[in-house]
Amino acid sequence: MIDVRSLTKQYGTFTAVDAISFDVQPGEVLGLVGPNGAGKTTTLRALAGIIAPSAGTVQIAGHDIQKDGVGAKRALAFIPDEPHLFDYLTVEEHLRFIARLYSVADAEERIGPLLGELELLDRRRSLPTELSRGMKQKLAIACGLLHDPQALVLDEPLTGLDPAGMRRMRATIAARARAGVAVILSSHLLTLVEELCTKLFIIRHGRCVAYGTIADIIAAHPEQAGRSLEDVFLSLTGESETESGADARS
Amino acid sequence: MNGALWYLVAESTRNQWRSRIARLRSPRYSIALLLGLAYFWFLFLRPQHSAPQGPHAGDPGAGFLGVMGTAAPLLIVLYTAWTWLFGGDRTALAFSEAEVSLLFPAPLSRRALIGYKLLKAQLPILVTAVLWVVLMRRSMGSLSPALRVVGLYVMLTTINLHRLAAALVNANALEHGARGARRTLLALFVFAIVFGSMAWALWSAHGAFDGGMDDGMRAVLAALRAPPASVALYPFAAVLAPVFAASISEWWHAMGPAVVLLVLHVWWVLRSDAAFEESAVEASVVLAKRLEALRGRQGGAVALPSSKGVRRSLPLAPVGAPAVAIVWKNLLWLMRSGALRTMLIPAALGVVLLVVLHGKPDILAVMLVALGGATTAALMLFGPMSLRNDLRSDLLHLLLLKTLPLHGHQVVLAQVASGAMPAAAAQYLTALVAVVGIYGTPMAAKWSTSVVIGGVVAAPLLLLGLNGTTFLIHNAMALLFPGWVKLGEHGASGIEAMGQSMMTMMVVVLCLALALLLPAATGAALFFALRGQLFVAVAAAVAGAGVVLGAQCYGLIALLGGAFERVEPQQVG
Repeated sequence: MIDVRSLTKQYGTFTAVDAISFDVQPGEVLGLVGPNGAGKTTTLRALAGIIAPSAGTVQIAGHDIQKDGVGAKRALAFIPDEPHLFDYLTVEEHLRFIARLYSVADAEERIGPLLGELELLDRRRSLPTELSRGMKQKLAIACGLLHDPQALVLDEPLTGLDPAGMRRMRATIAARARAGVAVILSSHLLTLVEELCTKLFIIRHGRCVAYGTIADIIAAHPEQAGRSLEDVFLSLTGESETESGADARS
Repeated sequence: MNGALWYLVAESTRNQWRSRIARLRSPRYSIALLLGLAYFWFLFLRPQHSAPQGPHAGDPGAGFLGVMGTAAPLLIVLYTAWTWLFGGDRTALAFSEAEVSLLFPAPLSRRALIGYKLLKAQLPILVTAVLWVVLMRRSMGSLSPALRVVGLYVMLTTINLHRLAAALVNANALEHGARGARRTLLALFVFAIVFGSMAWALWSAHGAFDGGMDDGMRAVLAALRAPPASVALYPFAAVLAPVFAASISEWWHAMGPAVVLLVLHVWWVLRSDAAFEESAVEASVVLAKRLEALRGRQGGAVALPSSKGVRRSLPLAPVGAPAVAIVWKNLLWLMRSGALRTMLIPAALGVVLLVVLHGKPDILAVMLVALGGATTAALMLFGPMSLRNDLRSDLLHLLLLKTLPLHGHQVVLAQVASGAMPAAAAQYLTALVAVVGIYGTPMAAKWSTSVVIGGVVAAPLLLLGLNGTTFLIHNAMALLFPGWVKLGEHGASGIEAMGQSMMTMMVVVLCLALALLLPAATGAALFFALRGQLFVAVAAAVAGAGVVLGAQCYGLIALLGGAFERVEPQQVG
């Protein structure tokens, strides 16, 4: 469903993402994790067609994002960490706007339940300026889910949500995956990643550090056996050395 | 003022210029700058071989300066009246998000914050003054340009200070209801006197119009230069006097009162500290909540604007051409921002004129021609500066826009159409009212019915083409040079942004002139070829020009679509 081959993104002489490859099949949830500045957001933006890769290919539902961007985007939903909403459209109008763009013929039947699922039903006539940060995030998620995408790309989806909202969001992602959606999830919340993801892609300095199921990664790095995901992550990304160095100094 | 604020202004200015210069490494920006400089030199700076001057041509700008010295204070009166009576420019008190987050919670007095705001505006005002003098140098007499720049700088700074002072008083009035409103009563009283004296001057001169327009205008100018208008307008004229001084001695003479007014304004604004502090206490509660919400990344609805007017919406079918959704969204912006209502005012004014001036066909015809012409010209040139319901607003949502299942050219076409269609409709409506009103007056008797009908039938195409071109130019500038264009719903505003607006206008006029060459030639050729049948010739010429304009626009939209697909978030900032 999502197929990435040798994806590279350069800004001048700086390589933000360096020839990474992975795929996500229907029903799979890939956790994209890495330290700040590792290249996660660049990768997600290239997947969503926001930036053009310097080399390599991205295919969404069989459509090359460069050659058939419209076809690829029709099958995709990208939910960024900061919700981008239009100040002059109400909650409901945002969904109508998205419905027209994606030709969702039964939009009116879908809007009510979706708003109910995300607890926005009583705010359907509100403008974004009248919504809290968490509500805006929920609206951005609703916009992403309205057209039933085949591929779902989420960048820090729990940002701004309250505990109940976080639980519901986790359930929503899991339900979409069970329904056959290919999901890519980028988050620093490793507990979330551990709970939802069927496989991991660990990125550092734009390069792949580890890729596969947790079992695959442990098999490739036997010294990590028995350790928590957090320890594995810190060890593979070299962050644990920094931390232990700081501890030693203190 | 606090040393940290000086440091902030100095470093921000230095880094801003550094990034502007760094941007010139991009060929697109450097070529645009070279072309812009060449255009600027050709229009304003190239040496001119003037014809030998007659005995009355000692100072070619003297006549212009005299008229402007009398007429320009009226513009300042209108601007300040708008500021006081209708709330004016709300951006006068605006601080950036970073300033609000970092400076408001910092241990700084409100006076220091206002001082910082004033200091930050000084360099842009100076640049605007220099630019203005360069642009107007051929019609502004023989006074040294440096002195003229100083005069303009004093004037612009005083107006900026006045704008800030008015915003402070208005903020208090809004915060404190009736108690605050009493503070604006003095302003109302002052403007009642000023407008009363102006009305008196116009009334006393109106009889002179019987002798023709020139006599009438001369009488109006004379009445404005005599009491009571000259007394009421004195502060406004005094601020402007150094700008329009014809000689060094006149300039020195004018600078005294202008500087006194400037100093008084500085004192007034800084003295407003207590009032500003009063309203800032309540604002800081909202600010604290917002900061808390941001820090905690959680709810708590803060700073809720009114959702008045949201009940009115437009229908949008879920299935159909997807790009229509963007036009729909942008039309809702027009409705909810009040811009649509403003655009319909000229047509409504035309209807009022039709009713009020019924039975006075001569005056009615002149008024309607003026209204129609002014509306078309203003909406064409200035409309796109304020109707920003297109890429200039939406580039800030580039992350969302680029994930939509649309081709680049579809996005650009929808964005350009969002502004061009309503502007063309408003112009056409006003023109239609004017034509209906003029029909049957002596002025219309000189026109051929065929010409009028031909024009009315074909005008929508031409207006769409013309507006499409102007909106396209603005959108192209935003897309190709996002570093040079202020993005967002509100463009660069205020006295300090005048320089940028003037440069934008120059570029738009040049591009529009170039874009009109082929359509004008096509229209002329069609008219010439079909001149035997006047109706057909006019309709074909107008429609032909419109079609060529539209075709040009579409070609450019296709090119810009490619640019949209290539633009990346870090280029937009």
